[in-house]
Amino acid sequence: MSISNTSIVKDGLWSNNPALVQLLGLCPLMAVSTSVATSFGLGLTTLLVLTCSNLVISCLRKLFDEETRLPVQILIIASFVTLADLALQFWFFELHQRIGLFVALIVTNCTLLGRAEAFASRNPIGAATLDGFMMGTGFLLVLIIMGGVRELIGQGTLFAGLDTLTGLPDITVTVSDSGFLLMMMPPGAFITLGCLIALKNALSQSASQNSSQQSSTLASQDPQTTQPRNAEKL
Amino acid sequence: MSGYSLKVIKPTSIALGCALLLVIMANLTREGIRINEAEYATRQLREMVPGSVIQETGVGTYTATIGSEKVATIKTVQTMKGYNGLIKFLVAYSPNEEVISVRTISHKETPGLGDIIDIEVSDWMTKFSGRSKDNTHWLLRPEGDIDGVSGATITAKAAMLAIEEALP
Repeated sequence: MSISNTSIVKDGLWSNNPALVQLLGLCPLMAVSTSVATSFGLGLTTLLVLTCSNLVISCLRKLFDEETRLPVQILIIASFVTLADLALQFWFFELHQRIGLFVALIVTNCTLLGRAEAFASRNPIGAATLDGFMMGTGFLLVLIIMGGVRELIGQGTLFAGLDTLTGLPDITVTVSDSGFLLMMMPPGAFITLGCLIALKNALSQSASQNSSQQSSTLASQDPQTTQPRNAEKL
Repeated sequence: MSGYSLKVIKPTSIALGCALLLVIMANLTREGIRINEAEYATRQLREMVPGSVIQETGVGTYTATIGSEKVATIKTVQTMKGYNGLIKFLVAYSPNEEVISVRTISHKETPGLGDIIDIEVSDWMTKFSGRSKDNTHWLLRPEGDIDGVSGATITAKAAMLAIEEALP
């Protein structure tokens, strides 16, 4: 059984996106997405850890026993998280001061164990690595979009602090001097994520309606009974 | 080899491999992380008393001067009374023994609750400015004068006690 690379890419980025469809790893998603800079930092760390852990778990999948496979997978994920934590402290200390508390929580991000158990431990190395990378990219993109929306509305800036945190040149865009504080607080995270999920569902729904209309012109589907495509997956 | 011993050996060797990797990484990064921490603490020190020159006078003790006038003493204090391990603070106080500013250098308190001691997250720590041993009753409200924080009582209490301890 082999899964095509295009479907892995599509799953990770869109149709089975970890944050918008699987709704996994919401704790770091909500907590860190107050600005693009912190979102980028944690998203990238998650992406790296997810890719590495999927790669190693797929390499070692023949060594797993039925009884001990979950603890062993968690052990491998936890090791990579600790490595990432040390690397962040070494190279990006300033960033670690802001997101350090959440780096340790990557271990408990269900996306990682979920992909390890559901995909990496059953698929060849190449596919597992690609899956980790695409799922991580999907998570990173949602984090950055949320960070961008919340920072723009909540603080009136975009990309603030990205230079000091990552060493990139300063590209801060200031739109307004004051912001809407609610967006920086936890409710802002829930509202933004809810809007993003609704948008994603609306886009998926209209896409599936278009394709079903094209494929069968006779079958007149009632739009109201058409389920959003991802509802079946949940 | 029997199936049972294989079931022990396989996970154990994976665990040993992970442990080895972590030990190597920890040793490679230790020195760099220590330097980063020291640099970060120095930057925090400069922010605490703006426009001053900082001089180290002892282990974890500094004086801040503007011109030739001594404007503040800065002390490092640490506490284990927090919710999750060691918390380190820098406390700056003026010659008349009033707090000027307080910074947290390192902590592992719960994100979203105990991280109110981080100046980037909350301005709670600024409420200590102007307090001294004489003008403040160092207990959480309602018994004392310091505002506690819902959900972070232990952290707030630990911070309060550490700051009180730093004052002469």
